[in-house]
Amino acid sequence: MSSEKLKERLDYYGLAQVPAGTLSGIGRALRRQLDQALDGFYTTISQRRELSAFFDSPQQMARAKSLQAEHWQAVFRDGVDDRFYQRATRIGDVHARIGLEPKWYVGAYGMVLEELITAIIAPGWQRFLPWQRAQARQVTALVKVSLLDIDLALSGYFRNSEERVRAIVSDKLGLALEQVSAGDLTARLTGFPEEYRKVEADFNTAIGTLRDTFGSVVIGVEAMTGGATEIRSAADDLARRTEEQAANLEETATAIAAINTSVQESAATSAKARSTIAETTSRANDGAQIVTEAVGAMQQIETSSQEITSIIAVIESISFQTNLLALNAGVEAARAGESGRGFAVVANEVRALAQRCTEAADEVKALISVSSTQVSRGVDLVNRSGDAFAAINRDVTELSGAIQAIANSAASQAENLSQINLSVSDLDRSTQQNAAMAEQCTAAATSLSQEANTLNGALSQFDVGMNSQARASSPLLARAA
Amino acid sequence: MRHELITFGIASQRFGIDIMTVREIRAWSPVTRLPRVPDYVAGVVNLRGAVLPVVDLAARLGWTPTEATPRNPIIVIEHEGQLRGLIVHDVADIVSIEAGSLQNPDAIGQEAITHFLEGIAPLGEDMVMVLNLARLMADEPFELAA
Repeated sequence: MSSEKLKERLDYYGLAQVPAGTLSGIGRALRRQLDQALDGFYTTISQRRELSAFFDSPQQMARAKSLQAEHWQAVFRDGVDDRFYQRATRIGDVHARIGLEPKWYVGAYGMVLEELITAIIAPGWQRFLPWQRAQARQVTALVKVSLLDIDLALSGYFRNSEERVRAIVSDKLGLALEQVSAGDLTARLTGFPEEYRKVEADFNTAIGTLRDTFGSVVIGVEAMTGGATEIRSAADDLARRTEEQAANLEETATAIAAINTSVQESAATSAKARSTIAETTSRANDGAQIVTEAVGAMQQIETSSQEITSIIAVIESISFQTNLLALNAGVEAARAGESGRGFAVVANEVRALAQRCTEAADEVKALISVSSTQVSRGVDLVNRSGDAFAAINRDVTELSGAIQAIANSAASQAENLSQINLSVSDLDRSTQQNAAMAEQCTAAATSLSQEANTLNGALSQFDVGMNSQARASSPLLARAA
Repeated sequence: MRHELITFGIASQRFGIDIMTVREIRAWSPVTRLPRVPDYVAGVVNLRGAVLPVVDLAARLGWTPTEATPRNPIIVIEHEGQLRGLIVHDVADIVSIEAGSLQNPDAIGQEAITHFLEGIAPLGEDMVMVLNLARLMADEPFELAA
């Protein structure tokens, strides 16, 4: 690139066809006169405040002078080549960086060239020849005028260029930046000259990126605001439900406590019932035993009754015989007539006794018969009560089993209840944690909402080319809603 | 003149018999049944070595025969030198009645019984049928060895 630019210039300047001898002749003149010429130049610089200000120290000035000398000597020794081009453009860069205007550089060349032209046209003793000196002065003046002309033309050119840049910067860029600083991110640059097209494109890309980013941020913040509101509402719901849940849990705990008490009472009642049942069993067994004994006693009574009956039969038989004897005595007394009268009375008395004995025996027999019937009935009743006691015993055993089952059930209920109690405690703890979390959520959502509002307020200063309707229909918001 | 009677019962009816015809009253003992004799002849028993014919009085009067037990007394009577044992249901008493108090029974109704009756005598609230031994023993269609 640089060699092409150099070649174009060499062609245009007509330096491509310069013979090497010419350059080396100039080189000889330089070797004789350059040091002196540069001395003069830097002396002039150090005398001008606006120029000496570019150098920090005499050493820096000396270094610049030796670099300059080397630059000149190299071009006439080696020719106008790429290295020359590189050095010259670097010097230009340095001048641009330190703000050294071209007129000083061009003028400096005028001073140095005056020395060099004189050295070339009137070298050595020839400088004392008046025509030679006049010729040198003419050439010097021509060169200086040419340099001044170049200087002025370049100054005009540069001024014009600066004006254009200033117009672009102050008008278009300034306006755009003003818009941006006012928060209008829709600002765009257009109509920049070719060499600033990249600046324009970069600016537009940067602002575009910024605008897109801010648009996304706006949508995000609005989604955030919506989300924060929803979170807030959800947290409020959560808090309310958690409160209800806590109340329900409290009621549940109370109910469980009541059930627990009732189960304990039931267990205690079962235990009491069991002890009562045990007593009842023992009493029923006693009763059964008593029944057995009663049956035995009844059987003894029956045996005795039978014995009595047989004794009564004997008595009855005796009284029957006695009656017959008394009757026979009465018959004999009647036969005896008057003499048997007293005997008849005795016989009658005996018969009456026998009669009474029979009656008494009959009464006893009747009583024994009734007694025997009653004993039979008693035996039957006692046997039935024995059956009843056996049935009671059986029922009591079943009852005991049932009560045992109730007691077992009460125990397992108590165990289940204690597990339920544990679960309720866990639930209660969780609910309290949930309540705390809901409160934190509400606080966080409120804070988030405030932050979002603040952010939204800050963002509302920016125009990202999006109206509120567009914002509302953006996919992010649609999803957030 | 007063009659002394031994009263006894058959089928809850009160009968009487002249005490002077009675030899003794004894308890029933198992009888030896005889062949070819009327239903009312229960059989014979050994009375201190003598064979005593025993008549079921209830059957003789035409009522249901007695299922005799040791509690059935046997009244031993003597009539014209002949002894008879009469099975009765129970023996009641020795009573005396005025001879004139005997009344002829109403013949209507109880032909079989009234045939054997001497008469009927009142006895307190009750009354007693007095047996005519002669008819009782004379009507026997057979002679029992005494």
